[in-house]
Amino acid sequence: MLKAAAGEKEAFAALFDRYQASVARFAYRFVGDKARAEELAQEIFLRLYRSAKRYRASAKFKTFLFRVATNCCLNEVRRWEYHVSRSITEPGDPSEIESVAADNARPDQSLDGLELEAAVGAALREMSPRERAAFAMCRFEGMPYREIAVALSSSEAAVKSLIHRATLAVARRIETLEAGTEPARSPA
Amino acid sequence: MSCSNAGELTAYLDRELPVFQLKQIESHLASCRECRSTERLLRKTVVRLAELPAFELSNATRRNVLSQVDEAANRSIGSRLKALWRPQVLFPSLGLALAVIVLVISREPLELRDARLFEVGANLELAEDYEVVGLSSLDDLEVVQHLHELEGAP
Repeated sequence: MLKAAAGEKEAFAALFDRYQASVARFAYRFVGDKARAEELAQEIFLRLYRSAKRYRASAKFKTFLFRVATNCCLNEVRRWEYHVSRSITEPGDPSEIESVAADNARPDQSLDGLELEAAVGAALREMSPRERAAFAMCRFEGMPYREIAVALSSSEAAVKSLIHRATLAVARRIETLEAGTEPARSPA
Repeated sequence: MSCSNAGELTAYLDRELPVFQLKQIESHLASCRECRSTERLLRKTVVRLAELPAFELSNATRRNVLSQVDEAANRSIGSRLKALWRPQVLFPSLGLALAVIVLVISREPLELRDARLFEVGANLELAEDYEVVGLSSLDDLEVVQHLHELEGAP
């Protein structure tokens, strides 16, 4: 990162190759739309390049990257672009998820990949942006709570609470779809 | 009503609790059916999440990002040069340059003036010598030229 900050394009290309999967996953889980996630991932990497000089070697790079990524995603939410452009035909639309689940109600069987994707997507959409960011960093990137707290400029206690609520919400969604019933309100 | 320990179950699952609290939750789970059920659900969910299909960026996005980084790098060199033309930078710089030029110029005439003064002084002295000796022949020029040497001689 320090080399990239010094203007070495090859160093930045290497960083991109190493972290693009993480950033893509994070952006996708955040907005739930592939085209928008591609744009958001581009924005994250460009913002990362522009803010490279602020990076200090003492900080963990992944934490710095996800701080940039989280800020981009939260800005995106503030702009409401995604919410405005969201259409009923997208794969993660709740009504579609529920109809898919109802048509394939198989209480004894696990959901397949598409249904699982839809269930998780629906739960993510119902979360607050900070819950979504904390959940994505924890569950998909395996980041410890301490690093998530740094990325979110928050306390570890707050992160613990965000992750618990988010994980429980996803768990209830999956449980509900597996059972083929309406989602119950989370007690947490 | 949910158990007061329920809020700790995800952190317990993620091994994000201090050891004493982990043990506390472990012993609590042995006695609380509700928490055991929630913990099982959470554990199963975490496992299921690993089954989600991957999402990768397209090659076009990679190309776009790297070309935009190139552009940004080039633009930053241009913009640095352009920044020098801003009035906030340009006017103070010009003022400073002007001050330096004035200082250099003002030093030069002093030296020149000194040289001229020396020249005038030397000429006056020469004229005085001519007056002392009086010019009646070409040989007198040579005498004037060496007059000071002659004056210094014992």
